[in-house]
Amino acid sequence: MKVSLNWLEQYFNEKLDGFEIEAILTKLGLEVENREKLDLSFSNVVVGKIESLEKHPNADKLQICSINVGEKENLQIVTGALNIYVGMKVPVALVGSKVVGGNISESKLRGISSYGMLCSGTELNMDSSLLSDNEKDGILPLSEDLELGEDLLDVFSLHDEVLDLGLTPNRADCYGIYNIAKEIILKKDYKLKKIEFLKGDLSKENFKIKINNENLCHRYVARIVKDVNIKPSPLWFANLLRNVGVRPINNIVDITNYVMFELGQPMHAFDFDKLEGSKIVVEEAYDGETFITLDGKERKLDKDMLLIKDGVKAVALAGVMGGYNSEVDNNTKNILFEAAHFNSASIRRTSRKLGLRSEASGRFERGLSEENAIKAMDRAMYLVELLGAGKVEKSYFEAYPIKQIIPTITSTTEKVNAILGMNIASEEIIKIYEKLNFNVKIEDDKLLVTPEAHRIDVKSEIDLVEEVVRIYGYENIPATLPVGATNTIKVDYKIKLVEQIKNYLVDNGLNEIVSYSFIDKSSYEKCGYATLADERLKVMNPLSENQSYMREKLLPGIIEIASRNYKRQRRNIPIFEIGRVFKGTVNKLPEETLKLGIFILENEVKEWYGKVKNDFFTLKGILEKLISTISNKELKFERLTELETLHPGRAANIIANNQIIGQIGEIHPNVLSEYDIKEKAFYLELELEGFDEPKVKQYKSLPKYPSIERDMALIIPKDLNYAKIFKTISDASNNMVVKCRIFDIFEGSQIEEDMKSVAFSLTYQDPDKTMIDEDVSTIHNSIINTLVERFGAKLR
Amino acid sequence: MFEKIKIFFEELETDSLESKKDVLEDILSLAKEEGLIEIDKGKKVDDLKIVQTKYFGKKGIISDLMKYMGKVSNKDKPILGKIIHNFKTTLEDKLNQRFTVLKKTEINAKLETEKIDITLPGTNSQRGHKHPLTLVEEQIKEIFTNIGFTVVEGFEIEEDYYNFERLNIPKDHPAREMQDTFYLNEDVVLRTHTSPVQARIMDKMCPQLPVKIIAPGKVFRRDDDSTHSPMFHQIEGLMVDKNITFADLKGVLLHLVKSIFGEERKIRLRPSYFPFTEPSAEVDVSCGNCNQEGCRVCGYTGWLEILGSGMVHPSVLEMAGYNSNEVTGFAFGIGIERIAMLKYGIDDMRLLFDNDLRFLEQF
Ligand SMILES: [Zn+2]
Repeated sequence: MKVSLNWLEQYFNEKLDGFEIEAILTKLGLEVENREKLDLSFSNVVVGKIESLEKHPNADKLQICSINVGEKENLQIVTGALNIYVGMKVPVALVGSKVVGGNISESKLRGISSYGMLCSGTELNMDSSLLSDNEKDGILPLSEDLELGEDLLDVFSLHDEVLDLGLTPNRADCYGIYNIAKEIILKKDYKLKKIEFLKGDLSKENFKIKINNENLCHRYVARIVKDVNIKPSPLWFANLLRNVGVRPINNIVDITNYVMFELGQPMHAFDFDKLEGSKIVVEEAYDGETFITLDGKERKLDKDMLLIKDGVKAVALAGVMGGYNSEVDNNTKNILFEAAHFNSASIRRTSRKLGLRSEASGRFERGLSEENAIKAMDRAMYLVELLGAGKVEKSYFEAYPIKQIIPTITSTTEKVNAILGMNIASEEIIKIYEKLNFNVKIEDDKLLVTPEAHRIDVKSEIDLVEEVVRIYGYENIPATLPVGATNTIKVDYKIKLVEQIKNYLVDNGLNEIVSYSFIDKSSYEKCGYATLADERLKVMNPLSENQSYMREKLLPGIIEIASRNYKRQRRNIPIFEIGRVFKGTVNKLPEETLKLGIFILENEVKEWYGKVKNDFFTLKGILEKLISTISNKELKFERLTELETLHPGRAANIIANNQIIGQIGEIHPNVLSEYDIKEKAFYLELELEGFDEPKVKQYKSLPKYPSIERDMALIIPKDLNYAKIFKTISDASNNMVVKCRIFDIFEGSQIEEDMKSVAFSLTYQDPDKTMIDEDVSTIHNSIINTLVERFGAKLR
Repeated sequence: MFEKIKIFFEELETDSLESKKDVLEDILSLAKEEGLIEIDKGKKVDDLKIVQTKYFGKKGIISDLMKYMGKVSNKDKPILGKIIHNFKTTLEDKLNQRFTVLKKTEINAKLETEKIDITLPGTNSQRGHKHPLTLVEEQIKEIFTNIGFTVVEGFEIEEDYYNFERLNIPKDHPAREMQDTFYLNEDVVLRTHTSPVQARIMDKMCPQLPVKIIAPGKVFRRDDDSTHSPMFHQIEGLMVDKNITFADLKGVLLHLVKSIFGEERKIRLRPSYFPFTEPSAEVDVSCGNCNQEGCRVCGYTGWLEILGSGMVHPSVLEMAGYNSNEVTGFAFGIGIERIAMLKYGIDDMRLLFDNDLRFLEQF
């Protein structure tokens, strides 16, 4: 919402300072997003008249103009403009002037001297939306009655400053500049001038207004102006509109726009003679009805949209845009002005559905007071007379089925102070209400407060509290700390867990990433998750296709980021993410599961101390240490072959308490190649739900007797895995083996095919006595026998 | 020398050593001098070992001398013993001394050859880095848990009912325009703020008091440019109890800002509007870049907007079952990206989601 200081100053007897007004509005909660001085974009541009034109002797496309700028001698200016003619008044940038695009100096064009430049609207920093079609191309034509030599900054009233307000939805009333003026006097001791109205008498004669759905239109006011003289508005009036970003059109349309910017109330002007039925009917369209709005576009309507009809045909799309068929044009003789109250939700839906937003619909959407309609009408009628635009009929027409209820709110000083934590005196509070022009009645210790009609946001006591502190000043609120009982909510262990895991992983060289929760459907396929992409997790209105599904896995996001870093020549990519994934359910909400994903690249490098690289077991080591850091869970790993995400020979399910809690493995080469990663990478994804706070560990007494180590070297079948061997050894030793460390694995030509050589170091310990060599040998041999018998192992 | 000694003992008469010992001492003293010079000449431990063997070996001089012990009379034995002992200890002491010196020198020389380049980097010294958003989130959580707030979490995919209606934003409310929402279906949204946690936790706790929580998490809005990301992070704060005031809110936020940005920073509350709080306030922190002189960072205002806050709207309390005549509360929502950008001087929000390791490793 643009507010010009020139406009505001009409309501005061003071010169306003832009910086100060910005500060005041900020303190009142009307956010100023931008403040701009309008007279900085050009200088030294004056009104001139083209007195003669001749062809340039050396250039076909140039003309030499003789321009009268009110000085004794005319200026000679060479121009390439096409839309100029003798007698035309034009903006002339004098030598030494500044316009958009540069400074103007004396120059020679193909041998002819030129002392200045004729300007287009763009060169004078006029937004193209402010220019009519014939003003857009070429030199800006100026009105004939302008004085020669007058500074264009004065002509267009550009010694002005414009504030751009970002209004919150509760203050729709401030879409009217007069209501902003009312705000200013809350903080500044200025006198606000009353604006003038031309009131009429309510008529019940000959012209009828009928509202079919009262809920959608609480009030409709119409007034007729006869013998109108359609012409451009006077410059001062047009300039006010231009400075707030509205293109002046003609006096009648300009008046409706002016009132909309002054009081926040959109209005509409119908060519009265184009209305056929001598009445106004407000009713819903039917499905499929078409209507041509005044921008010439045909709109397809439905039964939720509200139309204004003249008894024969539709003439306006209520609150959004007028109709082409009843538009005011240069031949219009009589006008019917409309000021109405429409249901805000209905207007919003209509303008959304049609993709048609206007200054009017924007205001209706946010909600207006019913009382505003008549005020706006009376103000418009005053302006019609002021501008000599036509003869205002004495009486007006109205339908007002649902009257505005202005609440009377009961409040106490005590309550206001209790909420604020302050000690504002009753008198002070009453003074604030009076400044707001709210009616106050005192009843015992209670205040009965009735807000002004346009403040439809003030409905209950808390709204009064807000008004009080807003005007008293947020800067005057003391800063205290709350006192009271302590919180008893139990902290979810998961929250602690996540912090702990992050600490552990970071200490172990991994970097945390944060990726988007929505992913591209196709990334599931790229990652080998052929069966994913649940339609229940599809975003209805994504910003783009690649952000349209809520993730069911972390890998797509993580590998995308890994790939991005890889493409930047990065080879050391140890990253992890902790975040939620989703699962569609029959319930309303999907299931949210917290997961950890860790990605590392093989990254074989020669360091000064030797070659290093990551592999499956690097990642497995990280996982094992992590789990023992955060819980007492015992992990098991089971080979996983059917996944297309991971290498079928190098992948495992991670199992704890007989439940699969994740997967670990080397990423499938097909997946890596989808992401242009040309070396091995390892990944694990682990579910973090179900990690309860570990039970406090109880101390176990230390072994009383020494342990003995013995080595064992065997040739065993290739596919006999370590887990099985260890289990067998442990059982066969009757739990006397407390540790089994594998220190050599060897396959190759010296060994039979399908066999491998393995060497272990076994630690024997008897909890009840010191073992002697003989005891150990007995067990050691029985272990060997078991392995030989059961698996066909051979001693080496 | 041996000849001389041999002759000396051949000529020695029984029990006469006492009177002739000067002669023997003179002979040995010469031998001693010779020995001492030899010891000094040894430049290596091995040289010295040769000298040691010469004097103290099985066939060494000392052992030769000792042979005469058996040959002299009982009376002369102690006298000879003393003389030999004297000779022996002098050389022994000298030898040991010399050994110590040479061993030290040799070890030093050896250690000298074992010198390494101590400026080479350590092995496996790489540490990882938490994401800056995590660092800020953890800091804010700590600030609040220290003053008795409990961390809770809500759903990222939320019912329209909790995301909007329970926060005083019914369908068709103009405030829905303030936040462009992603929908999964008509009733389910990607939460546009962490505020639904307010309703969820109050539902769970009512009628218990106080409710004193903060809730970090991801939120989503249909916005994507250099200052907006379609996914970002917030921390919601909520305190509900008897006698909670707007002044308390200001006090808590002042504490927060000073804890994050430093004691010297100030805050400014500006009236604003959120449907679920009233009175509402936008909170600005004084610009640390220019000390409020005005600069590019603060848009020449001296202030930086960091969060929205306010007193919990009575109808939000009522919907949760609290009596708004007896109970009040405050709530706030902090944008973690915003704080991280200010705290670390990050000028483009997209850096936070690009996850370039060269960026992440700076934290
Ligand atoms: Zn600054």
